[in-house]
Amino acid sequence: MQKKLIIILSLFLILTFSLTGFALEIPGYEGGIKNEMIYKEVIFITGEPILLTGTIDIRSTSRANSVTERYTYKLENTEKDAKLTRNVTVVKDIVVNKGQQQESLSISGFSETIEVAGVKYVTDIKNTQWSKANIHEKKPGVAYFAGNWDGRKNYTINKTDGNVIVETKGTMVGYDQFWGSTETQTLQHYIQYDRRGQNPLKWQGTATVEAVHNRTKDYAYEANAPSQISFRGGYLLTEQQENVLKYSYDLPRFGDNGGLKAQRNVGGNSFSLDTNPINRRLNIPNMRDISGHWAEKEILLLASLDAVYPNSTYFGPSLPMSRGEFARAVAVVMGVAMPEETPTRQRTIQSQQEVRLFVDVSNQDPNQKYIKAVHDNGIMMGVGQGKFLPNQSLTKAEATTIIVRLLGFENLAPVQRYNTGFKDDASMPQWAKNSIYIAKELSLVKGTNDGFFQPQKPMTKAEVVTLLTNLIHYLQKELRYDYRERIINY
Amino acid sequence: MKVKLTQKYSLILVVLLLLQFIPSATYGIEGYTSHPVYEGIDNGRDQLKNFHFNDINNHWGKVPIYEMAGLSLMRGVNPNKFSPNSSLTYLEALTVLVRAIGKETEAQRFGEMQAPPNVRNMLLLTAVHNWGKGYVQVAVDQGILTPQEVDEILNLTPKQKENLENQVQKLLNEFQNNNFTAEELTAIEAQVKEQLENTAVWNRPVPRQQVAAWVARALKLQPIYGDKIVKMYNFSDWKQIDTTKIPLIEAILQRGVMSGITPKSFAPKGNLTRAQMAQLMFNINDELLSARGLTKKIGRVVEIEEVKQQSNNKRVFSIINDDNSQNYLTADLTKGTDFLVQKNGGFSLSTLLNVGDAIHYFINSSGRVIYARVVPSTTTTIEGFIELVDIDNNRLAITDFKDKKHLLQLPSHTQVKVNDKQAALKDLIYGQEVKLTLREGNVTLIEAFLEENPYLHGYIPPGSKVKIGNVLLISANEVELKVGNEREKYRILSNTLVTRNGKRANLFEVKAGDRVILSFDDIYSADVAEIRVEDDERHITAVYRGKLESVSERNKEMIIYSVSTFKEAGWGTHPQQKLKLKVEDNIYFEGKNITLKELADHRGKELYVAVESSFGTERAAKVVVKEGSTLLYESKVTNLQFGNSRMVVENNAVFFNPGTIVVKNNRLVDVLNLSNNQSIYLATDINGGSRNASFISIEYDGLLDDRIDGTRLVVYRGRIEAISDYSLTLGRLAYQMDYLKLQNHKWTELLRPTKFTLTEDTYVYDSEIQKEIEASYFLGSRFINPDMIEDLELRYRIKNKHYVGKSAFIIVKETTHLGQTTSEILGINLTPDHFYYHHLVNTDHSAIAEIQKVDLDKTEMTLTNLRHWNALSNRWEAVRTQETISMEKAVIIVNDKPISREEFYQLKERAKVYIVKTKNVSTQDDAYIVIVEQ
Repeated sequence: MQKKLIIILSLFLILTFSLTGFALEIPGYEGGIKNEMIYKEVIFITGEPILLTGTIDIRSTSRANSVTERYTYKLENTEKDAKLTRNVTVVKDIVVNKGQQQESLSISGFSETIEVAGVKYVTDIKNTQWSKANIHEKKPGVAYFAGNWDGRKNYTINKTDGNVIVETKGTMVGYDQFWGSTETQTLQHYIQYDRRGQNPLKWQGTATVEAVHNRTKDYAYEANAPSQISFRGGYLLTEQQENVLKYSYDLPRFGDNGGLKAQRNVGGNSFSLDTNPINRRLNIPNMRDISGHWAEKEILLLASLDAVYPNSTYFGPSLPMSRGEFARAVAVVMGVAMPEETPTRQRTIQSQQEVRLFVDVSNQDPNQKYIKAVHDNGIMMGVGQGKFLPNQSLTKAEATTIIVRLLGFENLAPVQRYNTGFKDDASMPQWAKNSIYIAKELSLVKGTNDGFFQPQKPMTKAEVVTLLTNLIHYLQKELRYDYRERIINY
Repeated sequence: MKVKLTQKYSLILVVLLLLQFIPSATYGIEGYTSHPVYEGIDNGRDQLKNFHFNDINNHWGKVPIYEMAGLSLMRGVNPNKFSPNSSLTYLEALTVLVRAIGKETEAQRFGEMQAPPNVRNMLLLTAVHNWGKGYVQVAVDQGILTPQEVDEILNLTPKQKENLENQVQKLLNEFQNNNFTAEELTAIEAQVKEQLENTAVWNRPVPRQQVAAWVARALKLQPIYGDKIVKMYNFSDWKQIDTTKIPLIEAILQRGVMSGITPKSFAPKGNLTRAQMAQLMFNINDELLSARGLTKKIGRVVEIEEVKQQSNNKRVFSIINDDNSQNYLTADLTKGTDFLVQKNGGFSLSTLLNVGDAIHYFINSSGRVIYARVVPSTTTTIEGFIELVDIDNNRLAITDFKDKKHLLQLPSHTQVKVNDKQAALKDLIYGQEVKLTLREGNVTLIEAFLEENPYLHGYIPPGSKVKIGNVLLISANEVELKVGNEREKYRILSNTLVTRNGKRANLFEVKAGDRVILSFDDIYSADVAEIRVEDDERHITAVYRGKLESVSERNKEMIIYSVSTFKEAGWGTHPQQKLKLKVEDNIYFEGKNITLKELADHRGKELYVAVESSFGTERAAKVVVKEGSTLLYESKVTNLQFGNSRMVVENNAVFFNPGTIVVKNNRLVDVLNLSNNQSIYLATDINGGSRNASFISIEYDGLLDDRIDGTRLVVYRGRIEAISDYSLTLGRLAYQMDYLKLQNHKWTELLRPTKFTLTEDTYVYDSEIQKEIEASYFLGSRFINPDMIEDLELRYRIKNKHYVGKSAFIIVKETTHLGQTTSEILGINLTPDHFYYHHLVNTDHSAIAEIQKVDLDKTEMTLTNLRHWNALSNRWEAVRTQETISMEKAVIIVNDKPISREEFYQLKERAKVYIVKTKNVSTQDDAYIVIVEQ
């Protein structure tokens, strides 16, 4: 069952998130979270928060520009004697336009039954309205998305005893990139309970549910215990999902007889569900000239990732890095490196050999495929005239521009003329200024201790490696803080 | 002046370009660079020896003459003489034209083939004579020279013929004496005749009209007839031109490569000087280049390097061409490979070139550079407004400031800039102001300008610049953050907004240790527009003491056992035997930061761990490895010295360090938040003879007056002397008993009655009958109709002015603004039933605590971490049990706002409270005043 679910889920991912490469497994749309085994969701329909646990099954079929997803929920809470079954069919229409993807979602099938302590709440497609719209924007290194939805469900109480109307407004925002993805959903429920008959009861309540799905890649250095082993240790790459649910509510208080009491029941809670980490051991570089260097850890990490040449005995941390090497490093760090061409396609490759992307990058160049990858993803453009200048050193201004471009933030800089705050602001090339400002704000780059940026200085390998490690850290942690803590904790 | 400026500007542009594209070390040598490399010609240095002309120094035709020399189109009459003013001959003209169309080799081969064998090694006919025949032949073949013209030229006058015969005879006579055979003599006669014929016929000066016609044919110009003939008629002597040549000469004139000797006279029969021929060829040169396999390029020398390659010295010129492509020209100084250069009237080799020279240079079909001419750089500009941008056809239409329209075809390499930033043609907008820079007539740069509002320089949407960090210290006008490992200070203004839980909050609700997002409206200013405070998700939920069992570096976790929790000023056992905590950094041993890996070496040792619970997962916010034996104190800080990291607690010097866990108000704070006289709980370890603080818990008792924004709450106990419109006067409690003010947690006596401001929002509560009184009834009790009050008991009391002269607690908020202090009453707790003597022995006392639980049904709250103020020792004394107190009589103020009885549910667990309570007869105390921060 689990395996099947995973297969279906991954199939679903491949089919639906063609634009975003590393999408998350979003369990449905109702503001729940899940790990490999269980799914959790909170309901407020009875007037008290009930945490339900169970399974969700997602099936997806896709046609051109349209995806149909079927969700089946089976949840329960034995302590509260609560059970929920829900079947939802969501139809998603996709329009792709200039690197942006617009999705409009609607439901074509819906049924839900909640039974709590013998009381049955039932709703179906006729009594449920739901509409959602998403927008995705793909930037060279990161895809960003946001969405909104509005819904209304009208449940009957024991068929004839009245009804409960739950109105929900949802917003969703997230990003997706090689080192992590986050999607934060905020749902605001307004519940109107109206029981008629012998014991009439009317109350209103509100609840806010925030569900965050996060996947982060992390790395750790694993040292070996024995001293007589050919390598001292190596890096381990782990990938893990950390899903968080946080909710708060303002509901009535009930007396022992089921009637309303004075004051209200307010509160909240949060919990998380992590997946088991998936591990991958990285290469062990054998370099002799980085021991004790101030950037040793960073160099070792990037060399382990294959982002910088891992197989040579010498690295030359204080030597400048060429543009070709930088293309390789960025492509690997951002996970856009193309897979090795398979030999079966040899013939077509040969016929293409005359066609070069850049006149000065031969197809035998070890960095060629990375240069192609960064070019295809819009990370590095070449210098014009069909040239890439792979053997030219890279200035700090160039590197900064590339980093900010792949994040897609260059338009967030202030308008018109301004000072970036570095002493050599006046000598900064105009084309790099916005990026330098942004990179400084995000703490991706630093000036010298005495306040100069030195935009035209060629960067050494150690400096580039540090810059890229900062970028990795930013993509892992800072971006997540902005999309998770900043939304649900403030 | 303006032109100069533009030149300067273009120079700057070039420099910028260089910085952008030119590597610091180039290898302008084939195979080392991706750019094309053009070497000089192999015999370049020797070539120059042919052109040491000393007769053209002040000649007007110097430039075209050297151009002809550089391109090997015309030579001198000898290496030192060009004879610019001598008349051009038929043969010379044809030779030049044949060369110009790239047929010289062919002509020479022809001449070679037709050359008669020499007689007895006597060189009668030189190569010049033989080749001359070849040139004529090729000129005919190529349609430059027509057979009719040949006939005309060869058609000598009888006198000429006679002269020629005589000369031949004369020469032959000289050979007669040398024993030649008759056959030999015949051959000699033929050769002599030919030599003389050549000199006489082909070496005669050629008329202008003839050259004009040949040039027209060499250029393959279409003859012009009929009404299209225009220019010709400008000349008064046009009728002298041969009829057949008129259409050709008209074409030449229209092409503009040749003109008359004066505006009125073409002088068709006149002669052409060699210099004029050079000029003529110079004019048409570009059109014939491809015929010779030459390519002309226009560029600029941007760098000159000396490179040594395999023991050969090379000079490498980096050139940026007008189309922004780059290439290299090289000269091999060792081998003599070089190219000719003309510059400012000088003519030599590549040594003439300097950085910055604008050059036209010529590459031959084998990829060699043969010649370069340095040209004065012509840069012009057009300024105006965009009329039309045609992206598909690369066209631009501009209206300049004089309303003149310019239509421009743009080369594909044209650079576009908008407000100094790189842009593309598509970024240009109709009506936009632009400045075009043209070099040699081609648009190389389009600078467009968008209107800029000087007030918007550096504009960002308000609040879009943010800073995230932990509050290290905060005061009314400054906040110091810890961002990463750095400390940054920002200014708080009176209009700085504070937001907490998505709601507006008071500045004093921002505490040291809080994680905040500061936002700014301006990129230069340190003035904070808004402070957003993270909620309690990341507060310190517990402090543990336990032994380390294991550390997982990879999963960033540790397991501890024998865990006890800090609570009620002591250590209680944790229900779990083993506890797994997330842990990443912020781990200390002996005051130094250590890594997770190093922490693993301390297995079995005891740790202090401050734990935050983020999203239900316990995470170690700070870990200290304990070293040595522990001493626990519950006391006050004295003699605090930050400089020496030292304080005195109960007469013991205690040292603190960056590793010390300091917790205040559920937040992890910096040691800088310690201050003298503070009540603290301290765990210190004796190590190396000194006491080192591992864990300090600072009592948070600043709910009333330790506030950063200068406001404070003051609690009074007195008798209401008078209630008037929006004011209340509080006076002495009883005879010989002044009214009281809570100061430093104990009651102090005040002498004079004081007036306080009552407001519509003042919360009034009669705790005797446990009824809320609407502020307006209480305020205007003299004026309102008490019969409107529904509650009988209350109506009675209001009617009888029951409260005047009765005792009450009042809570006043003092705000100082511009030197003026406002004292507004937030809440009044009326206690009319209290007998005066109760207060002779004061049973009211202050307590601080944390809310553990609120029972709304019983109207009571359970308190934990309770401290009572000991007025004798002047410090907080911990109560080691939880205590439940009644809220029936309490007036509750939450974050400076009174809450009604119906709103008690808003009280949150773990909120900090300050309580004034009275011992009740039963075991449970009654709270009268509860001040809450949550």
